[in-house]
Amino acid sequence: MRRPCRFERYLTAFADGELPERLKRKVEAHVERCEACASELDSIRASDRILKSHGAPAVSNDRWAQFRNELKLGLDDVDRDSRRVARVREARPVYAPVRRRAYAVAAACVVALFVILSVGPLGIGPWHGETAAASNECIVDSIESLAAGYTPMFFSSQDPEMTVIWVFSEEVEGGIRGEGPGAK
Amino acid sequence: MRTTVIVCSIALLMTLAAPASAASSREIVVEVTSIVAAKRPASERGEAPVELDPRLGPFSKNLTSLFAYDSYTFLSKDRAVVQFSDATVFGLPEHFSIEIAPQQLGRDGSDMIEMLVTLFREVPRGKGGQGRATPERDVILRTKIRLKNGGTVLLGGPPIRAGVLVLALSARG
Repeated sequence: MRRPCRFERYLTAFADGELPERLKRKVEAHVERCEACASELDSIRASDRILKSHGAPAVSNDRWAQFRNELKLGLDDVDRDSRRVARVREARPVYAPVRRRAYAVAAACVVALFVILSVGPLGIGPWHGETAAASNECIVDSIESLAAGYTPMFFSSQDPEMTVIWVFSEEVEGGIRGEGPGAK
Repeated sequence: MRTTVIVCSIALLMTLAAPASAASSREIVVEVTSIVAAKRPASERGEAPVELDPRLGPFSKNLTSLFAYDSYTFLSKDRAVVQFSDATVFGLPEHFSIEIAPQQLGRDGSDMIEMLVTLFREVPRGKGGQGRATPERDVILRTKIRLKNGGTVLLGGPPIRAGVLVLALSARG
């Protein structure tokens, strides 16, 4: 089954001269390239010519009055909401693609912004070495001091999560909370 | 709807790819904050509160929880981008310096930065009896650590001024 050309829906409006100038130029250019649309347009124009070549049927005034009355009653039966929906549907072919694209771009921007704020641009975004949010997990593989009078050690605390690598010096009394010399 | 999904997917992939490419760019950002921790003389201690330099910001809570000093004074803060094949030396007050040599990021799929950290102190020494002072460096501390990407480790202990030097070393790849 042939996939309908996306310009097909504009052909009737184009034939009737009802398209906005920009879209009209696009359809014109397309029809020059697309055989299927050119053929369809010829068909629409041929139908128009046939219709125009026949004059309006002779109808008596009484018949027109009766027709208008029936039409009014019929329209009154149609729900206002359904009439509104019908009008919106009629407008879709021209405006909906533009609006849909705008929504898509806006949604993409929101997603990108969310990810950037979560991760940070290029991974080196606004970062100030803060310890509050980041995990401070640290594994000490080796530790040594090559200078005389220094003794290295390390310990890890859970709250706050922090590893401390400390070099005890013979010159000073320690200040590590809890077990260090000179602790409170 | 289909357009929305396609555009969102592309944006999401591009944004997620950005940090990944940075992580594989073989460099990390290192920040070193220098602090002096000191005790008051015994006669002045009493019940006075711990003096915290406001510039210490997020480190204040960690310092007071882990150490028993009476005051913490901010000295300096330096930041540098360090290549994995390279080492960077941060100059610190009073002839101290610290060398950071990142070695690996994310070994075995973990989010840990492996690095060699060396704390030096320059010591002026005479050379060949000519009375010319040539600074040499004592290695006060050499340690190989694996630090969580974006995390901080505290190093300290060497005497400086009227207290001890404390360094907050943060790294992010």
